[in-house]
Amino acid sequence: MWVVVFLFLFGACGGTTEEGGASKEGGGVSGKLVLTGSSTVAPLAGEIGRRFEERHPGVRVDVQTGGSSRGIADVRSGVAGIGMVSRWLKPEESDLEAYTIAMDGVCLIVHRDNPVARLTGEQVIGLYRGKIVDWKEVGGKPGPVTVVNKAEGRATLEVFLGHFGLKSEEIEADIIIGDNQQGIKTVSGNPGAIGYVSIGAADFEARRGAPLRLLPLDGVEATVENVASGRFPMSRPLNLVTVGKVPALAKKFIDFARSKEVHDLVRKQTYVPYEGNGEK
Amino acid sequence: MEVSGLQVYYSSQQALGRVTLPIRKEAITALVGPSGSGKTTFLLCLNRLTDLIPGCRVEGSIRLHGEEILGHGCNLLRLRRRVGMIFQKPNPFPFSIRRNFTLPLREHGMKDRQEQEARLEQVLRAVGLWSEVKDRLHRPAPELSGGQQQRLCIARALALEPEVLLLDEPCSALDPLSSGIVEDLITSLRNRYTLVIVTHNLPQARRIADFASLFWNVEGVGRLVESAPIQSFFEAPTEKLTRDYVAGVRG
Amino acid sequence: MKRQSKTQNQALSGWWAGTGQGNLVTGARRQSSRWRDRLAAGLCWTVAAVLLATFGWILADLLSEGLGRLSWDFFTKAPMDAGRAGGIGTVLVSTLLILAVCLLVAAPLGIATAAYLSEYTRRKSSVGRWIRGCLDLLASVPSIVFGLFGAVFFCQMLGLGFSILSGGLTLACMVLPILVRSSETGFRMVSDDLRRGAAALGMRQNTTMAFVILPAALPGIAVGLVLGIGRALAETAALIFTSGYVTRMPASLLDSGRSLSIHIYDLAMNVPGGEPTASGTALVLVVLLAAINWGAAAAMDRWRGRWSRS
Repeated sequence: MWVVVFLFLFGACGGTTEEGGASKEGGGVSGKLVLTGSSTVAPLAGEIGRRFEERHPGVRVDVQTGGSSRGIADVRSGVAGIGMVSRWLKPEESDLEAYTIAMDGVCLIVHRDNPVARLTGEQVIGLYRGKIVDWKEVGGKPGPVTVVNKAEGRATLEVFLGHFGLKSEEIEADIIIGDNQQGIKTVSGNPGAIGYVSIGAADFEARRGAPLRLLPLDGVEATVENVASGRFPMSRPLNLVTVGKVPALAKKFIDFARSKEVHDLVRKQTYVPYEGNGEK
Repeated sequence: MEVSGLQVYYSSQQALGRVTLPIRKEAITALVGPSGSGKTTFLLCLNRLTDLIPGCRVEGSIRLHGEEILGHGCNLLRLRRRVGMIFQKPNPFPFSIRRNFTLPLREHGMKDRQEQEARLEQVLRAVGLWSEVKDRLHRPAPELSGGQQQRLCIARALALEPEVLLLDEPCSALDPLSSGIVEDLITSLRNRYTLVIVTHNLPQARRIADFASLFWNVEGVGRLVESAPIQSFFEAPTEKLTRDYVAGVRG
Repeated sequence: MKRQSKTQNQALSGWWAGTGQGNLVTGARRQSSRWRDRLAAGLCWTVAAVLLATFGWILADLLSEGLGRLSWDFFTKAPMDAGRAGGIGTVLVSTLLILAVCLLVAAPLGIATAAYLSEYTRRKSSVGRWIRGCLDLLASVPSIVFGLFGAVFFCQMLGLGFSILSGGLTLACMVLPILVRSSETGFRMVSDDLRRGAAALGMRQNTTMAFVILPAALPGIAVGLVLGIGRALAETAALIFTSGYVTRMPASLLDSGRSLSIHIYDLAMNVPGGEPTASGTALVLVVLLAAINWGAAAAMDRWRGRWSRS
């Protein structure tokens, strides 16, 4: 009963715009666009959305979050017009179109007091499979290794697994975390820990004084520049995905999100702007 | 009121066994006896407050002016208006003195404010509380002293113009002075209302009552031992138990 | 506690005195019991001190990190730069709207259920037991489950989408068990004297309920409300899929709106450099909770005074 009352009271004054609908009146666009998906992309998409709204006063861009998998599910079910996915698409996701708006490198991080300067691919695999349990085995100070892994469904996990050819069930993790910041906090609070996070975020926090060290990978330093140039081997795209025919409003937003007009926003979110070579 | 063959069970446990007792109109009947002898249970039957007790079952017959009150046909709200009850512990509602009266009056159909005020004054005068509270009718009733609260409860019951008033040890929670005032009040009501009072205080029963009935716990069941006019109850009881009880030998 | 051990001692000394060697033994006994009293008191103090210290630590942390962010603009402006700049004005508005929806739905429903359970069913009746069992089960369900339920039921099936309404309704489902249980306790705390007194005056059960029992039970109900508000304000998992993530000022209840707790979570977990704002927002949340607690207590005091005088 209360629900009905509320719908009457408040339904009248809002929510009349149709999802993803676009009308061409005087060349402009209007309507409401819903984005859901990756929590990594969400803050960036929110900022891009706000700038887009400023340019097109009749438009509302609602950014929701919940993870890349949810973004894909929502765009398939039509709940969202655009999904946000922070990894390469998989073969079974060929029904989707991906548009890269930024790149994000993923690197291994250890505590600043950990003397280990580099790890080979085998060493990383050994650490994450639980074969190497003490830092002295890889040339560090004796002490137990705390393996920090990402939760299932996280894009960073899939990027990491893909790069090292690992399977999720092989990993023997001590701590399972969700988001980048959580990984950074866990490793900076634990001198024996090793984890992997977004380079942009790790670099940002390390500059602000977090006791972190970013490990190079295959001899390439983990820097934003190396991600931008494409030299850093473990990186992922931040994608907007759509399914089927894309309405004009969504198309316009995607074009805007891939344009130079948003590069400052991408950099501010510690990612590398899209320069035109990613997925189409 | 005519009570006959009254039996009360709590769940399957019998609490009161076959009580038959006529209650004289416009007189005071005192129920005496030790704790657990079924006096209060008996009293609760008379306005069917036993209905509030989970698992309580009442059998027998109680007639008010020839009208059976046990059974489904009885209008409980009307019955309880006609048969009021005063509890051992004064139980004014925790709101203002005035509202203690207006709420039940409105419930029984008296909506007119002036009528309510008139009734309020009338019953407060009847219990001798008017001069004490007339300037603070808006104050919370629990602010009153214990004796005043009990008189307020009596006035509240009287406001509904009952025929019978049941009193469950109305003085035992009060100090001696207040107790005396309430006792005098009860005595003054004798000629207009039928009063049934449970008391542990034998001298009080003797002072105020016209009839007395002794209840006794016989093997876990409350039973009526003897019922008689006050004079003969105290001076020439027929039962030995009564004799011993009034002499203070037992109980 | 002191008094109890004292009477115990007296009883013991009386018993020992009979054996003729009482004084010595009682003395020793008294000493050891006094020592135990002190130990117990010390333990209580320690626990209290640890609790206070923990709270103090959290508060100090929030203050040192977040106090610098607080300003008039922080309370009025919308978040900028993913929350690192700007304020939390819109988030605050969304939060209060979500809370209002939640309470407007949950409070009448919860109080009515509690009244039904306590006044209209026997304590051990099967209906009552069944309802209570369901509520207890519901109370132990993790909030993410409510979130997923809300996302499917309110957002999709009822077509409310990501909206303040969906979020509020989901929260209402979540706080309902708390509300019912503590309101029921509130009702049960009302003295039976009042119920019996009202019945003896020939008052109907519904009148008694509305005018006597309900006002007397209000303090207990208020406790339930405050607990429910606390849980609702602290919630993230149930809201992320229902009321959503949008930081724009909501124009209606059908707009998506981010709650304070989601804002804190996102800034702390997803946004590099978001900690100062996260702490500032957490500070606002703590103050808001404290204010609601204090406000409820004050309102109850006033209510009791006014009601008893009406």
